[in-house]
Amino acid sequence: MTHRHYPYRYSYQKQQKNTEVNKITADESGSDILQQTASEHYFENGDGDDHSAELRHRRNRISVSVPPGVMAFDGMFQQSIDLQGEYDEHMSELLQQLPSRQLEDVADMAARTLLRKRTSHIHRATIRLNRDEELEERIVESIELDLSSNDELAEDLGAAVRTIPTTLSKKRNIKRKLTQRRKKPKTKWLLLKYHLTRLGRNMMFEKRRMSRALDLWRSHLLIIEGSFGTSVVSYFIFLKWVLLINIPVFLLTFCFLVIPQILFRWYQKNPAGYKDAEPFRGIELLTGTGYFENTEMYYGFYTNQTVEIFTGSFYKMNYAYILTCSGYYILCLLILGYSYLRSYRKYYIEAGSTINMYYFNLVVSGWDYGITSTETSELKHRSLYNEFKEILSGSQIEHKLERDELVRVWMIRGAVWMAVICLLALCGYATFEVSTSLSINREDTVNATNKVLVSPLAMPVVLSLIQLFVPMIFTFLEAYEAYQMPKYELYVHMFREMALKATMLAVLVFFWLDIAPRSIKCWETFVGEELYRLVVIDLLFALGYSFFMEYIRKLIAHRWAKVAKAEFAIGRHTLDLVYSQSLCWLGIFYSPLLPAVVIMKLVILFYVKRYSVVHNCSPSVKPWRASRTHTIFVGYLFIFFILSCVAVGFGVFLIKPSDTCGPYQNFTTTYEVIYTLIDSWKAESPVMKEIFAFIDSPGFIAGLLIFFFMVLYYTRTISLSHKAMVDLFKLQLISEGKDKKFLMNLLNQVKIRGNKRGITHPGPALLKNMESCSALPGES
Amino acid sequence: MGGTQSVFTEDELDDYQTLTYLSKKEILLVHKRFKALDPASVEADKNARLPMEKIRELPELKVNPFRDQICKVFSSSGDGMTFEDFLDMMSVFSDGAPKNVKVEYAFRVYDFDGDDLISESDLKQVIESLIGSNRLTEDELQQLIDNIMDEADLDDDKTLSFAEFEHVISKAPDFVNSFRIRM
Repeated sequence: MTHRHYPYRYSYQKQQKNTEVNKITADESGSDILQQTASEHYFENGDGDDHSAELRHRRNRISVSVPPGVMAFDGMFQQSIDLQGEYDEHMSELLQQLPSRQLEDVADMAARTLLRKRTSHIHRATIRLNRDEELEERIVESIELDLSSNDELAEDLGAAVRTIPTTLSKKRNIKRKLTQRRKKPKTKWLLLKYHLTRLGRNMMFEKRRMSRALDLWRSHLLIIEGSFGTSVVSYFIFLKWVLLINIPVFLLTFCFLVIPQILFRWYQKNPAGYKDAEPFRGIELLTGTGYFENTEMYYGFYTNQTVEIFTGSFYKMNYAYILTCSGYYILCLLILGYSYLRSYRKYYIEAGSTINMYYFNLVVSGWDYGITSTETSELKHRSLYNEFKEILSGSQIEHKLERDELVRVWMIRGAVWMAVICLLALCGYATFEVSTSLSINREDTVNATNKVLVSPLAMPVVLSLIQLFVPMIFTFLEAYEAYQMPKYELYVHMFREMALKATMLAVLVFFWLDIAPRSIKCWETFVGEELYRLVVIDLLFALGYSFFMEYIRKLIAHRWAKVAKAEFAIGRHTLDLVYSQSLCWLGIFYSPLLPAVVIMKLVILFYVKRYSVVHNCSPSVKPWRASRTHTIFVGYLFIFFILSCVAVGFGVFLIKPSDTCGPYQNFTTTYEVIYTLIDSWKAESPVMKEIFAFIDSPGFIAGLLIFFFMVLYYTRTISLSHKAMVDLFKLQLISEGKDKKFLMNLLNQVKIRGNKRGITHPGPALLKNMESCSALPGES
Repeated sequence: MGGTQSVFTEDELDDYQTLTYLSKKEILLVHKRFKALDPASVEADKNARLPMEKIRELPELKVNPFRDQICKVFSSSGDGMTFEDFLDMMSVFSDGAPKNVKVEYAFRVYDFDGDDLISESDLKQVIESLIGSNRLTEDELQQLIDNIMDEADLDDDKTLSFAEFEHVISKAPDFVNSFRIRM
C-alpha cells in the first residue's frame, strides 16, 4: 500500500531536537495527556473578524498550555501544531477504522430511507463508502439485518437501493440479492399492503412520466440553456410558470361565466347585443372597442338575470360572477403564496442567516453543467475568472470610506432619491392628464373617426413610453450613486422601476374607480377596454423592443465592429412580465376573457423572444445569481398581486356599479349581492341563521385573531430555539474536530517515538486498542 | 414511447426505472444519445463499453472542464463507460435526483486525487479548471484557497471532509441548479 498523504502533518524536524530528553513510554504519557482533552487546552487567537470568532477557528495558530509533569511533549506543544508529516500504512489503517468512515452509515441510511418512505423532506445523512471490492456483500448483509426484523420495509427496496452511490450494475445486484433473501409476506394483510404500495409506486412513476410529457417547450428551453446558461433560461421558465398560472384562471372564467352567458343568449328569443354592434373592422384588435364592446369580452355584456336552461335549474349570474371572481383570486393567492414561501425557504433560510459563503459557493456552483456551446463555455471561464479577480481585489482593499466621503455619498444618494420621487410624481400626473383629457372625451367625439382611433390608444402608448425611457434616466442617475456592489445597484434599480409601474397603475386605478364612474355610463366596460388596450400595447412595445434593440443591433454589429451584439436584459424582461400579469389580475373582474388574451400574448412573446435570443443576442460575461433574483421576482409578483386584489376589492366593495349594464345593476355596491345570498340562506334554515349570527359576533372574530397570534408566536419560538440549537451543534462539531486532531497527533507521536526505539510495529497496548476499537462498531 | 421501442424489454426498463431517477421515456432518450456517440458498437451490444474519447464527444461533457474527472467517477471499470454507467451519470445529473445524491457525486468529482478529502491541491485544480485558459497568479490562487478553507473547513485541518462539504453545500442555493444536465 502506498503512502497516503494525510493532512495531519507534524513538523518532524522540530521533534527530533528533543528526542534525547524523552524517556517516556507510550502508555504513561498517553494517559496523562488524554485526561485533559484538547478542547480545554486549545484556545484561539480571536482576530476580531466579521465571522463570529467562536464559530470560525482562525487559521493555523493553536497554542496549548503544557500540562504539568509531561516534559517530554514540551517540544511538541510549545510550537504551533502545524500538522506536518506523513502517515504510513499502520496509521492509514487506523484512520480507515474511524467510525466516520465506516460502512454502517450506508446500511443505516438505506434502512432509514425505507423507514422514511412517506416523508417528503430530504434527509441529510452522509453515506461515505470505502472503495472496497466486497462492498456489495457488506451492504447486502447490513441491510438484510434490518429487513429481517421488519417485513413491511421490504416494499420500497427500490427507493432505498437507488440512493446507494455506487454503479448501476452493483445496485442491481444488491437489489437482486436482497429480493431473493426477502421473506414472502405471510399474512393477507401484509400481502394487501405490498400490493397497495406497489400500485402507489407505479402511480408515482406514471405521474412523473406525465409531468415530463406535459413539459411545455422543453426542447426550446434546452437549446437556450445550452447556449446561454441558467441565467437567461430562468426568464423563460418564469414566463412558462406565469402562463401556467393563467390557464386555470381562464378555465374558471370560461366555464362559469362565458358559457352560461352564451347559453343564456342562445335560449333567448331576442338576444340583445351582437346584432346592433358595429361591424368588425381590424382595428378592434388594438382598441378593444367597437365590435368587441358588446360581447362576452366585457363585464357590461353579462346579464343580471337568471339563466334557466332546464326548468328548475337556476343559475344566477350575479352570484356566479362574484363567486368566480373570488374563486380565482383565492386560487392565485394560494399558488403564489406557496411558491413564494418555498422559494424563500430554499434560498434564504437554507443559505444561512449571517455567514456568507461566497467563495465556496462560487467554486462549487460556478460551472453550469448544462452548457453545450464552446463560445458560452469560453465566456463562462472568462466570467468566473473575472469574478475571482473581483472578489480577490475586493477583499484586499478594506473599503472604509472616510467621514466626509460618506457624508458626500449619502447626500448624493438622498438627492437622487428626491429626483426619483419627483419623476414618479410627474409620471403619475402625466398619466392622469392623458387619461382625463383624451380618454373620456371619446364619448363626445364619436363622429370624428380619427379621434376614436387615436384617443383611446393614447394613454397606453404614453404609459409604455414612460416605462421605456424613465428607467434609462434611473440608470443614468445610479451611476452617480456609486454603490459598493453591483448587486445593490441592481436591487435599487429594480425597486425604482417597480415603484414607477406601481405609481402609474395606482393613478389609473384611482381614475377608473373615482372619475370614470361619474362621467361614463357603462364604466366597467370602459375599464375592461382600457386594460385590454394596455395589454395589447405592452405586447407591441415588447415586440418592438425585440425588433429594434436586438435584431437591428445585430445587423449593425455585422457592419460596424464597434457595436456589440445585445445581451439579453433578464431583469428588465422579467419585471415586464410581472407588470403584464398584474394588468391581467386587475382586469379579470372587468373583462372575463382577458386571461385568454394574456395567454396568447405570452405564447407569442415566448416564441419571439426565444428566436430573438438565440439569433440576435450574445451571452453575457457578467454573472447573474439566478436563485436569489428568482425569489425577488416571485416576491414582486406577489406584492403586485396583493395590490391588484386591493384595487379590485375597492371597486367591489365601495363603488357603485353602473345602472345600465352588467350583472349588478340596481345594487348599491357589488358586494351587496353577497348579503342577499346570505339572507336567502338564513331564510331557508334557522340553523344557518344561528351560524351566521355566531360568526358575525365580535367574540368569535377576537377569538380567531388571538388564536392566529398564538400560532405565530409558537412557530417563531420554535424557529428561534432551533437556531440556538444549530449554533450549539456547530460549536460542538468544531471542538470534536479538534479533539480528533489532537488524538491523531498523539498517536502518531507515540508511534514515531516507538519507531525510533526500534519498535517497528505498534506495541501490544496500541494493537489491543485498535482491535477493541474495530470491535465496537459491530456491537452497536 | 412504450410499445414501439424494441431495444429493451419491459423488465429491463422497469429495472432501470426503479434503480435510477429517470422515467422510461428519458431512459430511452439517454440510450439514443449514447448510441449517437458510436452507433456501430451500440448497435451490436446495447450495453457496449465505449472508450473515454467517445464519451467525451457528448456536447455537455465536451465543454465541461471536469469531464475527465466525471468520466472517472462514473466509470465502473476505470476505462470507458458502459451504457449503464452512462445512465447512472444521467440519473445523478437529472432533475429527479435528490440533493444528497448530487452532493455525494459532486464531492467525488472535485476530489481529484481520490483520497476522500478535498485538499488544497484538489481545490487548486478545481479553480484552475474553472477559469480555463485564463491564469491567476500563485498568490491569488493561494488567497482564494485560504478563503475557501476559512469558510468551509470547520475543524481546521486544511482539508474538507465529506461532512464539512455537505454542511457547507447546504448554504449554496445555486448548486442544484448548476449541477444538472437536462435531457
